[in-house]
Amino acid sequence: MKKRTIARLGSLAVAGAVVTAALTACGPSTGGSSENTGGTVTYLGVAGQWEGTDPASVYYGNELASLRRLVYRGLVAFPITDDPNPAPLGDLATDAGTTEDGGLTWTFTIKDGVTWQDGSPVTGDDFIYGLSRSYDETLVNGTGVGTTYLGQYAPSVVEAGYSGPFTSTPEATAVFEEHFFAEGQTVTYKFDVAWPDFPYAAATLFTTDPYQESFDDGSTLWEINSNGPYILEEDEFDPALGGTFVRNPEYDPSTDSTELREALPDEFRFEFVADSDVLFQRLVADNGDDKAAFTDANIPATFYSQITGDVADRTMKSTSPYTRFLQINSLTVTDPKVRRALAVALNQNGVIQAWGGENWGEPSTTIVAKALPGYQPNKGFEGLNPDGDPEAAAALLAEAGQPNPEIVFAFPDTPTNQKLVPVIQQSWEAAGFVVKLNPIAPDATPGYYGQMADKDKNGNKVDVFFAGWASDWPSLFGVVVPIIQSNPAGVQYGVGFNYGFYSNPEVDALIDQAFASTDANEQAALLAQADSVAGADGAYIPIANQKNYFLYGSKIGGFLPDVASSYYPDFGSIYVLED
Amino acid sequence: MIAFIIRRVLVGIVMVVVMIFVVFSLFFASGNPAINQCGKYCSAEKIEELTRLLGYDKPIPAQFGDFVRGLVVGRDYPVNDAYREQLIANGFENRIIHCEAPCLGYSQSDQKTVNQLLGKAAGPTISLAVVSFVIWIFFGVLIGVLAAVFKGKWLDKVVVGSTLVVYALPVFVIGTFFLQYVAIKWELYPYPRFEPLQGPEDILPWITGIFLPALTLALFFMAAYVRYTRAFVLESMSEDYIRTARAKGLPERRVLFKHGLRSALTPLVTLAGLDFASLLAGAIITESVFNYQGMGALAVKANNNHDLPVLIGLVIVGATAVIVMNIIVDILYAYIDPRVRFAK
Amino acid sequence: MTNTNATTVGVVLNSASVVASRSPGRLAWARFLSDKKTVVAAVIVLIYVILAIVAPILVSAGILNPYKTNQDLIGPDSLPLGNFGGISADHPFGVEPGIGRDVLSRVWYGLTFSLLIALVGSFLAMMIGIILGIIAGLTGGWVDTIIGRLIDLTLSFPQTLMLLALSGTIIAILTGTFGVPEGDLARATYVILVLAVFGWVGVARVIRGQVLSIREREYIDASKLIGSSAPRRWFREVLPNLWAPILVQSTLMLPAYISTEAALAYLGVSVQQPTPTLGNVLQDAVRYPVADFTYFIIPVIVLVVMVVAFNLLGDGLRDALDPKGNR
Repeated sequence: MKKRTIARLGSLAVAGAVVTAALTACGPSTGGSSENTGGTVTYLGVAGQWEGTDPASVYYGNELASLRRLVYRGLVAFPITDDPNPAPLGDLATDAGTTEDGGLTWTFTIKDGVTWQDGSPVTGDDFIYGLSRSYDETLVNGTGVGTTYLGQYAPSVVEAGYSGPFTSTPEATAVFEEHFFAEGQTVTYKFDVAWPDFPYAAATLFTTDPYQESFDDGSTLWEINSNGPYILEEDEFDPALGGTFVRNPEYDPSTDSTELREALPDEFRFEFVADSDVLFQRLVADNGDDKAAFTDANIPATFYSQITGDVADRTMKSTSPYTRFLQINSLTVTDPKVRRALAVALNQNGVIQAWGGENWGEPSTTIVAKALPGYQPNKGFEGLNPDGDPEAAAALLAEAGQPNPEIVFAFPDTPTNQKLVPVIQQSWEAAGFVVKLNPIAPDATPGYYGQMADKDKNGNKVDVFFAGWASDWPSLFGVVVPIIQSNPAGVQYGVGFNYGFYSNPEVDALIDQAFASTDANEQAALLAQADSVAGADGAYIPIANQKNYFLYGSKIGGFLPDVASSYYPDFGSIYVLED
Repeated sequence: MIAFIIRRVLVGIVMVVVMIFVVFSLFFASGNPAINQCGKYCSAEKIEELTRLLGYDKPIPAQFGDFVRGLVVGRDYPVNDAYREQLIANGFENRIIHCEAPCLGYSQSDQKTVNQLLGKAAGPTISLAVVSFVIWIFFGVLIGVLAAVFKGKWLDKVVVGSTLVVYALPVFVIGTFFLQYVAIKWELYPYPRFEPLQGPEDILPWITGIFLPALTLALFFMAAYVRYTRAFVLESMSEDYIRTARAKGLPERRVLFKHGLRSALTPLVTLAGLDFASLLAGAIITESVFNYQGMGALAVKANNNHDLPVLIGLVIVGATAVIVMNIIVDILYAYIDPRVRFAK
Repeated sequence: MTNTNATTVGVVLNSASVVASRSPGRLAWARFLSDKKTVVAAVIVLIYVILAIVAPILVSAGILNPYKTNQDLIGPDSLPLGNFGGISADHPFGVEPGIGRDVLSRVWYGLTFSLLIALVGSFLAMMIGIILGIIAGLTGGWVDTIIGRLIDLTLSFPQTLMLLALSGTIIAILTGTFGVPEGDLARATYVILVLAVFGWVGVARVIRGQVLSIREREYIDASKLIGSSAPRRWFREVLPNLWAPILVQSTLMLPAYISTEAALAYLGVSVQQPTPTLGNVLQDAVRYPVADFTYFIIPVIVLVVMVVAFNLLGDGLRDALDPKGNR
């Protein structure tokens, strides 16, 4: 299971030479009128999942979503809406940015009157400082987002050796400042490669968020400097216990919009518990304060039998941006027929059932989530049998002249995976594969993805390994490029997230065409075509498209999983129902 | 007596030093810790950064020397001099961490000194240890004495039987049962959350919050102590001097409490001291079940992150607590029983 | 008076003759048998041991299936179909949630691994403890002091913390330097080492105490006078007198080690799935306390019965071999 990254859906609002994103929101407001103001909402989570509250360190989709609504305003943000294709709105910026050269340069004007929690104004320089911190490896805590995407679209900065504000040479800093600079309240971003949907990324990631330089004192990992409607009551957020958010006296609602933040509760209490079992027992029991509690974790399958009657009235299903698949090490498994045999033999339904059944997910043919605009099933996997087809797979193997290939299967060694692995193993063995297992300890060093990113797989022999993905912003660009493009747009910068080292010139050519195009529909079609070509070539093994199944307390109102929050419940619309 | 105390303390200090040395060697045996500590998304730059920050590129004796110096006078991070100068040159002097003596280290993953982390974690751990201790000593000894007094009768049999069963139940089974059934499903007890004790008005929430996990931990020890107490009391009750006391016509209760229990106390005190001390290192399993952020939870997290400085700090603090407790118990023992002072 | 004396003497003489014909061993055996609890415990322990020995045979014969998954027995909620965790004629203990492995097979086969680890661990601990205990007891002086300090040092380490923190390092050393195959064997070796390194201390103390009391007896001095060498003395004179405490200690150590393995499994340090140990089955079972109570409680019962039985047996042995007042 890889990054539990955010997923966004939305249209690519790129059309023509000049792009100005729409200012008006669409979709109805969700009943958040002033009579619902007040009360304390409890957000329940599992301990130990947060890696930091420093904007440079936040990476997981649900954390990005909640903090965006409570404390960290960005250049732009997606509105609260049930529209599956919303456009971003100006949040700290007056609008969603302007570009006159097809996305190579973006300019934003910062609103006046927005302040940090100590009262000082948010300035253009704060945005540049915040961006610079995204280049510091130790701050980013290895999440890789900032450096990967920034490296992809502005490679010269990385190549100059820029590593953030604390350790960079003056020469590297000069290159950085040529690309990103502020003049008063005007902030300019100059990329080397056109980034047509930059506002979408800026809305969801914290890479471009502002940071107050005077706040940066070296122990900021769990501190929160707010410019939003709430502030953290404690000095620090506790990754094992949580924290309390109360109203920010410095917040000026006239600089904000209720389309982005309704800010109805007086207090948000984040409370973490030992495991999801305890969490859901409490939600089901619905006692006392837990009546006004909710979570963004999915209901574990073992609780389905308790979702009846009143409890069932407090649930909601939604689509999910996550897809699960297995990546194939193209350097060791070189025959496309063998690769496709792995996909054809796989018992997708069995895996899904072990993972949680039909409420958890459905079989897929692609790494692209159904929820993404421009989604198409992968023609290269047309007719894939979700129960697995060992005979067809065996036939492929016979054609390839390898009736019993040995496959080493690596996976993070967790209790959940231990339930899935036997199903996968047995479905391959039925086709004639000889499967060897390589469980990677959860606390291994380097960690699971660290090892998979390595060409040598850290010295392990690995032929197939677990993966999952959710696009980092709402477009096929966020999936197809990172996973199956052999190099990010013309740059030798790392491997992106193509841990299988898959390389197909036909796929790359189609992706390049998509980058060159300026029509959103054409881009999506080209990327889907690239995906199909990769599928026919056996680039990966699709497993499932996840679903969301949420449970919340009986006094929770405004529960809305939406695009802005990657289909997690939107913190901007939540409120406490009065009796 | 004084000579005995001094001797014991000196021996204790030697042991602490030896122990620090052993811990250091054990943890550094696996090569550059920066690789282990690097985390999920490792890169060469990050390893380099960690090494400079924590000084892992220095030879091990030098690192040990730095560590000892940190304990005595304090130290600064980043360890690498050039790195510190670069920070000052770039205008970020406020990013230099000054760790005051006794400095146990610095945790890169939490961006705090080990002392700060331990300070925060001490509350739940000490609370758990103290409340558990009180519960198990009070009930353990009481029930043990009762079982001894009523030996052979129904009460004794029930006690012996149930202690055997409780003793066999793993702590995480008991804890999970308390949390999931007693607290959540049956709502017999409010959901246990740790409430720090900062003033007299906090006592009730503190006790309420600590009771279930403390009981979980205490049950295991209670079972053991019931058995010990019962055995010790029975043993000492069969000694000759007890028969003499009875022959003298002393009432049975006086015989029991003044003579029988007294000699049972000395081994109990030793055991209790050591068991209590071991809890000061953190009850890892109990804290994990209830999500209490004491030293046990800190240990688990540090282990997952390969956060060497924190692990070293925890081991040293835990072992020192035990050694100190050992000394205290020995001194108490010597006070009660003069023969001990001269035995060694 | 005289009559009573004569009768008493007669009785004494008679019973002396009866008593004299029974060796200490047989006396102990009689005491052992007379305690019903201990006999029952012994029978239960024996049953467990036989089960553990038989399990591998049953597994290779295919009668026990600890690895086979049965997705068809799992419902859409990932829990076993049917009541009580899916108990049926085919699966008397039910099936494992998620993938439907037979719980009876896993618990039974897990018994084998747990007992094996506990046995090897306690054997090692006994070896170290006996040797060091004898040396300390017989030699005395500074050697005794050093061993005593070593005991104190070992005891002062926070055990759970150490074994958790060192698991990665030591397993890496085992697989790297010593070439132990990765996976189950390396982890099992680590658990055994940990058990031995922390367990020898109790043994050493008891043995030392025993040796000290034996030392004062005459025949040791006599053999010293005769001039037999020190090792000879140790083995011929001292060891035979130690079999009783050794037997008792080892019987009492086993249940403690089985419980420790369970705790280690909970922390993720012991042998991992799919190889079953009682500990790691319990570790999984404890995740379903409400959702599948049957699956939760069965390994607990199996564990508790075994631990209680071993403890009762150990107590009974101690009483039989070394009766001391009222126990």
